[in-house]
Amino acid sequence: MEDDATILSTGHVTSSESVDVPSDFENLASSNSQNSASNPANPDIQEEVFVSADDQYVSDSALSLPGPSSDDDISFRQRKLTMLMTEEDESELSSSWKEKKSHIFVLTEAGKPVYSRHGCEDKLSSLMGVMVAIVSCVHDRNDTIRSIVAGNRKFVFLIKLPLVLVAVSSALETIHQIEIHLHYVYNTIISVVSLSQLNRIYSTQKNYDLRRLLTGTDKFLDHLCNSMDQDPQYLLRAVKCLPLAGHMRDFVGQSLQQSKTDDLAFAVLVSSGQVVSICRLKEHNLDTTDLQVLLNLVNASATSFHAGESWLPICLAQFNPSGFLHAHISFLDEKLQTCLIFLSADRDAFFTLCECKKKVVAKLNKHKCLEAIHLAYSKADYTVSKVGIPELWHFLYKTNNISQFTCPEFSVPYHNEKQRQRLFGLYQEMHGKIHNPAAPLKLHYSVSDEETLLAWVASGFELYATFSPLVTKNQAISAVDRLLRWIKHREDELFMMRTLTF
Amino acid sequence: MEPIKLSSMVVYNSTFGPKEGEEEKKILYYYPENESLYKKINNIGLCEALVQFTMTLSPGVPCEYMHTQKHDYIFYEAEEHYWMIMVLSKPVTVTSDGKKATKEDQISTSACRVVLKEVYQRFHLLHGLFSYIVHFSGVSALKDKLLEFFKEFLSSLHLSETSVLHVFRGLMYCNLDNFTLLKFQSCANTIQSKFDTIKHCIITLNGHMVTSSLLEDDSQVIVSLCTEKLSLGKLSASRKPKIRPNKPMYQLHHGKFLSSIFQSGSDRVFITLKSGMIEQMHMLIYQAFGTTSVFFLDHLPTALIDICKELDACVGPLLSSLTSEIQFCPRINAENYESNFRHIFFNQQSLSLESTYDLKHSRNCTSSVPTDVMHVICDINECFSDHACQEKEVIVKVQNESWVAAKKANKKMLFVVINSKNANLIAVNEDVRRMSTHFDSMHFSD
Repeated sequence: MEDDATILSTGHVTSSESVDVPSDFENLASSNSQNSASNPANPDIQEEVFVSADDQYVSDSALSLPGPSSDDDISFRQRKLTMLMTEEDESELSSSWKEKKSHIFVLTEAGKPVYSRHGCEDKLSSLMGVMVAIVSCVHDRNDTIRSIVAGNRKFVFLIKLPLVLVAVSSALETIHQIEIHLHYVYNTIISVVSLSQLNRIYSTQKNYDLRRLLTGTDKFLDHLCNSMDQDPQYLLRAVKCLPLAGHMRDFVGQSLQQSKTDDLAFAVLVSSGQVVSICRLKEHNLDTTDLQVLLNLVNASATSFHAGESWLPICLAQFNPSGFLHAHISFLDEKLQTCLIFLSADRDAFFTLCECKKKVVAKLNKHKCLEAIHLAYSKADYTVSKVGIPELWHFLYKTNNISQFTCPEFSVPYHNEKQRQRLFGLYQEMHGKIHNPAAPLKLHYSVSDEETLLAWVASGFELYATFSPLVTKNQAISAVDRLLRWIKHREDELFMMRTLTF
Repeated sequence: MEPIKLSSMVVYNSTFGPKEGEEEKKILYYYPENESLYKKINNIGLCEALVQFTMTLSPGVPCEYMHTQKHDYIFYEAEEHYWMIMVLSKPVTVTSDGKKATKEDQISTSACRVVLKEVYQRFHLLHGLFSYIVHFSGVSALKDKLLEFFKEFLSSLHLSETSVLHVFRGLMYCNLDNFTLLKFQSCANTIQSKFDTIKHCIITLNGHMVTSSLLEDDSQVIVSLCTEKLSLGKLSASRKPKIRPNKPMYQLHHGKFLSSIFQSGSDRVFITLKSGMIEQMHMLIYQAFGTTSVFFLDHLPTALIDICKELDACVGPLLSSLTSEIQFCPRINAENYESNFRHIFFNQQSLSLESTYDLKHSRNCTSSVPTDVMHVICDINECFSDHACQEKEVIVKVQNESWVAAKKANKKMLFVVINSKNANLIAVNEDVRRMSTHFDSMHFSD
């Protein structure tokens, strides 16, 4: 299986008139055909890569890896850094831009902008030049920069040459958590270009503008960054399943099994961004991070995939960072809520998979699964009142062995956006404390004016619970007991306990 | 495993060498001193760039730390444009496959930043503001003073022994009943009114603060200096102070006056007055009957021995009668409780600190704080120190089975560390509640 994926290292798109190709998809398609054009096998095209005058500096301060740098190099870079700093003074970054709670920048080791969460990358090229100069100055000292702290603002660096990712955050997240966010961003970029392709390009063209390959990817990254600020799935590194009766989920799984064909690695059914069921090859697991990257891609572009079937190369970093899988994406309902995804190693499998889809849908219809799914997402999440513990206001529960989580929807007092943000911030803070690499905790119980929070890491699960501020510890403990029993009782409904294999 | 190590200590001022080719002028102090000039300039250049870089994105909030794989850089802008940078190298451990790995976070960097601030305050106490020295005596005078200061300071710096109590930078007060305390205060007032050259005085008993007429910050620095130099109070057996025993300057009838505790032999200190003015004063240290008193004189009389004799004759009998009738308040300490209880109580306003932990942290000592517990306490303290945090209660179970319960209310903080493997939240809460009744307004909720 893996071998197959490795062979197909270049993104390649097969499409035909009969397939409805969404506009972004065309972007991806064109950018991917550019890939093959910029393949080092065609040296003449490489020369076109533009080096504008103001980029010259930045490229000078490129990291030279591997091997220690000579003293001359070092002092040269240091001078560049000083020069860049003086320039930086003059560039006017608007104060509203500076005040954004969380910035994420992606740049190449040559200082070329790749992505910025806020603002236009082009205007930030001098700032990014400074970033890469700092990274290389620290590198010259045989060291690697990790983070800088100034007051409540944290600057976190993730160096994944040829890319450098930088986050600037004034939220309550810990440095460790921000690093994980950067990994998600990195994996999303890899999902579009693949690691081997990235390395190949930059081994010959240090100045390559990666944005050419990433056209249309910005919205995946924007969607990811926004989700990371409010969606617990990235905090917990777990996915949320659509609550569905256990036997119904089994039917869905069996239906997915129908799609078995050569080279088909995974079949996933998703509804309103939540996993319904997964069917996989026996010897391969779909890693949670990979699944999250895939879900983000689908959720970010639901409207552009709309009706019809799409065919898209995607590189899943945990599965195989150097090769592409090919995703067959189709929506099964008008409202674009339920989405069927096939991941195949065969780049020419599109039509085979179209047939598979028909089989799967037929089976789903036979068991009335789609109606059940429709009913499940239309009645939305459950509220915490369903648990029947008045002093419990909200909770997050993650099962560790299957990396899935469940949480009720936000209800009073977390009914408005401000309160929701605040509660999410508190969860981030508690999660950060519990998972502090320097001193991991087993339990964290805190009482403030506004609420009482309990975070508990046990062998099989993690629980974050919010109570009224007046709850006593005895009440809280017994509430947790009841909550755990409630969840255990509904395990089959809340989680996907079994994944079927082809 | 080698412990955490100071790899560099730098003091610089960018405004002294703004032009290219003049970078050398920025350096005010650099440890290690034998580093090549080229490297010194480069490293300062990097620090400057970092400070400026963080400024562009978070104006008004200076850079505090940079963490790299191998080092922790700690930044402190002591005075405007005067930056102090401390670089610590993380301990390296060799993993089973022969690779070298750096051990993360052996010591809380926030604790190290407190140490760095304290370094500056000690310098300030001895020599005054950086900018004053430069203004009145020139840059080279400042360089000389820094060199001399750090030579002495760095030899006595033991970062790995930084105690959790350091983080609070508090004053350990002596537990006296109100009446005795008043008597000590009246004794201090008597001295100040009788001798008009004496402007301020501090009295300590067994290394604990009794009374001081200085601002809390100065008192804290002076008491911690005296405690360290004169080895007052308990010192762990593992680390006896290396300094020479202080020779008495004058051995008098009741007590003795000590020669300067500074290696330079100077006894001048810079005291910040309540008005914010900084005044230079002379320090006289007097030890008698277990007390150590520090007198601050605005000028040194020509016949020092006379004033010392007079002081001894006046203060000696007072202290003698006071110390003989001391009634210690019942101290809440390990003896009253099972030995698996330890606590730290800190009042943000008065800087009063009370603890069953020692100020000197030693790895071998059973009473020392495990690294992860120390991290947890530093972490909670950081959260509590935030002005937005008025009242909060936190109970935490650390992986090594200890529990830490902390409470902040009315600008006071209480930390209780419990070593109890099989306790649960309810049981811990019971214990903490029983204990917290000894502290005002420190009631843990049900």
